[in-house]
Amino acid sequence: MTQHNQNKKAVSTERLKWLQRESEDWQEQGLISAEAQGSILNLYAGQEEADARRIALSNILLISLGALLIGGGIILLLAHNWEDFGTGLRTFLSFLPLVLAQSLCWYGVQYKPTSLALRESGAVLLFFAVASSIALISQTYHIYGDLERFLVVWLLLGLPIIYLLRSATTLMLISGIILWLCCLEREPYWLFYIALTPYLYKLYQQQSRLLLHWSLWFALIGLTISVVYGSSYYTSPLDHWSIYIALTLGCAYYALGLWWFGFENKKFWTSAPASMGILIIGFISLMFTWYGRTLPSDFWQIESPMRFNEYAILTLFTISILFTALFMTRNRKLLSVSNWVALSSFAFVLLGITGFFIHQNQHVFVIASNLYILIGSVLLMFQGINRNRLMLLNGGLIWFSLLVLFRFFDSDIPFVFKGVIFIVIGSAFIGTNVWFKKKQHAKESQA
Amino acid sequence: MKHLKVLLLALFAVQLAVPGYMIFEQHQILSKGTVYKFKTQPIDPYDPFRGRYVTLAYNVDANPIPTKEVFQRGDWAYALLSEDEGGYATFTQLVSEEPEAGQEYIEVEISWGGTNRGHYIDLPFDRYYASEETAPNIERAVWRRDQVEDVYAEISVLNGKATLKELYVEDLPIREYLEQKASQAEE
Repeated sequence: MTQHNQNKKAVSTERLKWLQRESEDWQEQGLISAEAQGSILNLYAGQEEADARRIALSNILLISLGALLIGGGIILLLAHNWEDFGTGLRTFLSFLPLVLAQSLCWYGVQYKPTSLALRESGAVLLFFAVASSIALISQTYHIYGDLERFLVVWLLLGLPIIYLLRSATTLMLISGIILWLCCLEREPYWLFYIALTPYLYKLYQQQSRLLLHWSLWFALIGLTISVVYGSSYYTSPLDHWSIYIALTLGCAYYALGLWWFGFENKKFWTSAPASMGILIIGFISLMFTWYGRTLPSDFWQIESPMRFNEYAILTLFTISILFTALFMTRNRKLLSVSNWVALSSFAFVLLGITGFFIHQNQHVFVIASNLYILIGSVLLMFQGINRNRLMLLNGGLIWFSLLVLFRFFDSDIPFVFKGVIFIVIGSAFIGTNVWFKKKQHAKESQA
Repeated sequence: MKHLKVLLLALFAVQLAVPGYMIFEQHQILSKGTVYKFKTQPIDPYDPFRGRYVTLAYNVDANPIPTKEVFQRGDWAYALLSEDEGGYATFTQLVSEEPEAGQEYIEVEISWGGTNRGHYIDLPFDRYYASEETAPNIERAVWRRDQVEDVYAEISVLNGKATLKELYVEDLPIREYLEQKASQAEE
């Protein structure tokens, strides 16, 4: 499927025929050149073509899922441990799935280079065959090896499949393996996500909609969990900073999403970085509204040494800060109100860093974050109503409701104080509504 | 496209070579290595890819191994091998320099401990893979009967690499032992 095919607007076949007839007339009359006619027609695709595209996509999806299940099945069958088989037969069986999958991939590359379905399914099978092969040999010879080593070997032998067979499904599987490794060991295996970026960029260039978005979601969720898990645990030197690292990642994702998919992309699913960023920002900012989990009390916990993983995470932290700051200064005129609401959470990162050095009072932080969500969520709701965008309205509502819920159960604030604030904010809501209605009324009667 | 195909073939070759080398290495150790007996006690966990296995807790691992050198956790070291009066393997010392010919040793990963009291180590042969039926049986056979004292694993050692050859209970390979027990139970 070419890039053009995917960008074409789908119109009914009759309309397309009509356009063909008419444009031929225009060309004969000398209104447009043959070239222009060609490029105009190229903008549209008949309904049948669009249908065919959809069918092709669902084909890929089904075949890939099928390959996934078969691959998993082979692994499970071999894991049963067929003790009665001799070493020779077991060795043969270790190589059989691998050779079969390799042949299938080769067949695809050599004879059906255009078949995306064959390539994807072959790649998935090959990916699993590598695992089953190593697993069966380890089993036969009782080879020592924890899950970590096994996954690393699998990852290294599987990673080139993404590029050589151009397989996005394998990329998603590998994202999962990297995440698994990070959750297993808290080592900087998340750096392997860097090896995935050239392919993600290629998918982006090809405008491959289905595969790009799935792959991006997988990779971003994996990266986020890996980094947060790798930095926030009791003895981690970076434990105090992990909340800031997570928030910075959220802001950087959001900026990246706007940069890649444009400021006008309104769909949650098709802008994975921005959507992931919003989720992180919403969640972390709510965590800031509690006492006791904000300002770092130690620069890092000196009792645990800084290792490569910590330095790598700090580097990512710094790059994300620089990228977000640069993005905001360069695009400040293009950002809409909702963009600003999301990106201004970046201030808390700066507040956290400076607050640590000047020993800032924690009240400042907690009050600022509560105010931020209060104002931000109301702004989002207004934006949602004004621009008729349900997603903004709902997002604002959820954010606001969670803040209210948290404060209601917050034991750090005295009851009377909480009660008064609730009543004041509630009245403000009703008051604004009444004022807004009146204003509209006045407008209507003037008209 | 041509480059891609060459690279793809290279990848296929590596994917085949890695398991191939694993088999070759194991065969070398099993056929040319020296065999030691390690006293052990098995317990039965699970691995999502490789299926059931029995974790072997070795008696040599019950006490830290003495050393004169300073090691960090996760370092690799050489554990010098010897045999006790019962004919079972023991470790005499941990060293960081590869020992000279004549001295058998195993490459091990250092676990916790210190220079004064010695280090615990992770032994590179702590798994015995078996089917879903056999693995729990092995564990049951060894744990339930208090009289089963004599459980050991035969480990083949070659140039610092070690691999598990067979698991023995009362001088019978584990599968034979289980069969014998099953036939005794039928009678």
